[in-house]
Amino acid sequence: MSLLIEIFKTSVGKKFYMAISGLLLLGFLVFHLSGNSTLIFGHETFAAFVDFLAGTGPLIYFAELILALIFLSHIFLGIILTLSNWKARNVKYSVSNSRGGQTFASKTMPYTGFILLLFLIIHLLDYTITKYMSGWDGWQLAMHVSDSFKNFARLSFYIFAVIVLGVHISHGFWSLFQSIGVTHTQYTKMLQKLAKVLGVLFAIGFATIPFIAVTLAK
Amino acid sequence: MSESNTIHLTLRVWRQPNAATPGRFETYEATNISTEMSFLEMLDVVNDQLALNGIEPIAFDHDCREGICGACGCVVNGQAHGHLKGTTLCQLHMRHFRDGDTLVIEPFRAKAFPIIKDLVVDRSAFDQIIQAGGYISVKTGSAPEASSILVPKKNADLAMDAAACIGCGACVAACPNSSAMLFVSAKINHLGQLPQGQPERYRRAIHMIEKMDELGFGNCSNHLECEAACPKEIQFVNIGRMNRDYIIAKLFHNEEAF
Amino acid sequence: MNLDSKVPSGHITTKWSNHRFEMKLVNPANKRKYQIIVVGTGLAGSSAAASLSELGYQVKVFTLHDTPRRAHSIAAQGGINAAKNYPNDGDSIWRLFYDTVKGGDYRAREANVYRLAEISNHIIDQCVAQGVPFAREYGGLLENRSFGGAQVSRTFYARGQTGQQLLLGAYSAMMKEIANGSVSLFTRRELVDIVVIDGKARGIVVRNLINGKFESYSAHAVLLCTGGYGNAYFLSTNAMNCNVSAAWAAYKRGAAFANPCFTQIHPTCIPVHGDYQSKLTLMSESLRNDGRVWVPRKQGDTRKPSEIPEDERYYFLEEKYPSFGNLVPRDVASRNAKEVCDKGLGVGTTKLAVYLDFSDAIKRLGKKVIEERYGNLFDMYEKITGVNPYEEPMMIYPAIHYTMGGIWVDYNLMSTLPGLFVLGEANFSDHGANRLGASALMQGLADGYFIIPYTIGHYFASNTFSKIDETHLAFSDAEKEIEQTIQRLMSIQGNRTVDDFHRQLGQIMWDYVGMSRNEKGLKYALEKIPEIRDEFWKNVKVTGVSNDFNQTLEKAKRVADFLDFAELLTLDALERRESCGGHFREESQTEEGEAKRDDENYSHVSVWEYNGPNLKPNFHKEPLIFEYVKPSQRSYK
Repeated sequence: MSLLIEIFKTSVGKKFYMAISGLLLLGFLVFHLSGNSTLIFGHETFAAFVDFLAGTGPLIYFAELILALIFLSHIFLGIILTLSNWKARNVKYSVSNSRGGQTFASKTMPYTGFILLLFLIIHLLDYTITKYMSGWDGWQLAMHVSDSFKNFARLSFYIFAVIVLGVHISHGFWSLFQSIGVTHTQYTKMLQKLAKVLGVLFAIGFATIPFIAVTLAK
Repeated sequence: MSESNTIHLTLRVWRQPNAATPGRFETYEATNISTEMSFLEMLDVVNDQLALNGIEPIAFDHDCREGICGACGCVVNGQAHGHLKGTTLCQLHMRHFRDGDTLVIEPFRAKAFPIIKDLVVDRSAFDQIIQAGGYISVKTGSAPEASSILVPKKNADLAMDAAACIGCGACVAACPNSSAMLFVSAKINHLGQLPQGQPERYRRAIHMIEKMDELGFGNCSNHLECEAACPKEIQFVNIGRMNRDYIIAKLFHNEEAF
Repeated sequence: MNLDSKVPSGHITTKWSNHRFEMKLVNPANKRKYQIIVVGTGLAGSSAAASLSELGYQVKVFTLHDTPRRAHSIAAQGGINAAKNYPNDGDSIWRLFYDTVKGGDYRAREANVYRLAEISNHIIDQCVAQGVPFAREYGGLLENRSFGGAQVSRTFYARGQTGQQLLLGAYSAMMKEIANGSVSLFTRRELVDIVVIDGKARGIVVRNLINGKFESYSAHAVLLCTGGYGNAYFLSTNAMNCNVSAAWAAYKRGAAFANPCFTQIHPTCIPVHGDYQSKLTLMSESLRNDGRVWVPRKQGDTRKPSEIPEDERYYFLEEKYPSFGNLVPRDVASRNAKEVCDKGLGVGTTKLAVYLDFSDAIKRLGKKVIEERYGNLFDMYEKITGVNPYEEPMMIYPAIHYTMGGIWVDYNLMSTLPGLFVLGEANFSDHGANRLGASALMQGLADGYFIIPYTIGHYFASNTFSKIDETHLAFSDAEKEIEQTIQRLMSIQGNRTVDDFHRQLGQIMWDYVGMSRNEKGLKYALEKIPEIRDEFWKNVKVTGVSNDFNQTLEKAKRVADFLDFAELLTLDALERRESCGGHFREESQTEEGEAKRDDENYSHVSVWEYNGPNLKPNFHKEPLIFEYVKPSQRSYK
């Protein structure tokens, strides 16, 4: 355990945790997306899935706790790393020009991350917290989801947020392999391409959910 | 020689008397610049003019002027060593600029590279990183017969690729985070590729990385700007390999823990 | 002046081993009581600092660079020689010794050269163990190549960056010792004086280049590893900061200067392109293996090289030297290039260049083979000149490259000033009148890793040292003296830049003390140099202030020293009325126009002793006796 904390102290170690937590979050996103996709089969399927998860009792609380920890560490590390990066370049260049290494995604990682954090809070307030507070079951939640996306502002914000997510993943996915030391002159290039594909897939996948929800409500 | 032309440039140069005094840009005209000149020769010509007009010449580090010593380097129009790929500033020739161009010339900027004067920065942090472990501990006289150490050609080539680093600091200057990862990883991989480097491989990774952090360099965000700016075209995979060595070192070869 | 070379007695093959046994040792526990100053961090300086620190001495290292990894050793491309005989092609210590003495045109000390050849093998072992990534064969063993016309393959190399890799090896060894705390590193410090107390070198005064302040450091011995003086010619392949100032300070404090006229010219450099040219770039001479050197037969021929028909091309090396052709030694190739250009056959805008043409080789071997062999050199050429050498012939011209002369040292590498040791290119010891390719790296590392660690101990053990530190008056006196010089430089505020004077000096040196020298020209140079110097001290403009980071002032001080030193170089060239190695006196040539040595009158080291400002130095000779390699005249016909 002390070794794991030791690692955390250095730049490379922080990036290692950033990468591992990012990878786990990607896993969560896959799960989340597949869960949400049950909406395709109608409100009932979605409600049944929600009720099934609620029915696992302590397990789901435990899973949510772990997930929260992963999210928090990813966010926390992101903030620390970004601040120390800013500190390392204490005087800015008056002209700065990329040599072609940076991409839009890599440059905006802290900002896309920040937008995703805002989105996460709103998202949790919108659904998770409201569900717990109101003591809703799956069906009530399913109805609420469909209703909520009738609001054009919310719908737009969600679409925007999942595009941001796609951008974040399009750098984060290959970058995490580099950070944990899985690197190769050729295969890393393939991972870079795969990351872009994944980014698009996640963005499209998550973007379709609100539309399905709205369609179901009609 | 290729066709020689002369061009006129406007230079906006960062002037700063010392670390404690704030700097500012000054504008100078560089007239009748032959396109056969190197960038540093262009600065020489401008400096001669400044000196004759009683203005102190622009201070800049330089030495070999053939791209190997690593002394020169500043940021030209936002790019370390200028825009030409795989080229140090001393090997960047004026034929790559157009008549009438305005060039903004700034020093390498990083907290770990404090400015000494004008375009001259203090890169001694790199020496400190090497001191932390960028060597193989072999005393003079104790070496075995050279041919008793077999090095597969591939490893020798990879080691040489990494060892080509000239320690100029362009990677730090180009990195949006002022990170020294490319420099550090080049040394770790140069030695890590060779059988001679194995006994200290993990210890080296730990000590060099910890020293790098301590000196105030930033983290790696995998922007790959370092690789794009490196005049010796050292590859970013070195950073990945260094990360791997470090994680393995910390988890499985930690001398303090075992 | 006592010029005792201290060469040990006995057969040449056992001299060094006997000497190592006979030399006194310093008790391990006492070593840390001795302080050693190392000035310069090239191959010689870094390797010496690391090795001495490993023995337990307290070492202080000084460099004028921002880091010790920048010294000009880093620019050596070709490789390092050693008598390993891995290729089984008949090499041996004796053959390397023989080749080096012969290559030096019989003007080096035999015993020193033999020791160098003997040590060469240990250097390779040492560097490999340090992790120097030498080229390897598929079986994992070290690869060798033939270099600079040698008949055996004894050169070890790391791509085209051997000097860099060896320097980084020595640098890292020194960094290890800095981490251990027994080497203290002082960067951006330039030596301005050597402090002599009780007749021994006991310290140095340096200028801190960041704040302009003078700093004094005391020690029990001082090692000068400050490189060569090629920049006396302004344009050379040396780095911009290479200078003679440290050696000159030593000379003025009593260390005699040997053979200053032995300078080496490298035939394949990229030609000068304009007045603003700041330095010259060397292209590996391996290019001559496949390139053909020629000029148009007709004066003032302005046609493109491709438009000049075969019979109107003058392949001067092939015609004059049918057996060696384009592969004649450096000095012969250089002199002939100058000769054709002097006849008005030169090419390019300045007419000071000859073609090095690869079109035949490309036709014969294909572009791919040429690319494999010289790709990086061709790229470098194109980067600098903007011309593609696959399509147009390269243009080349000789340039000053290395200086064999230097501070006189005995077999122990100690100068005539006790306690002042001189290593690497800064000394005169091993290359005679001409250095062979891939031997400079060998000598620098031999001196630092394997000679000085033994001989310095002997010096410590056989001398007593009074207890002194930086508060000794000699230090403050030296500081005051240099302060005056600096203030004098600052106070002139004339109308000409430092570079302007340096360029003017360089032109005189190149024209009259360059590739070929004659009495008239040398005497003219001896008149001109003091004139330039006088004007320098009246009309130079040094901007800024002295107690600050001031590169103009740094340069001015170096040029001031070059202006003094150039006179000594010229004087030495005038005194040596023979041709040998890199020194070609037009008065001394064979009927075919080849260099003619005069062993009867000049088989000696010319040693110059400082006699005070503006006074002719005293001239001494150290006779050279060749017991093992009998002098013969070179012939490349």
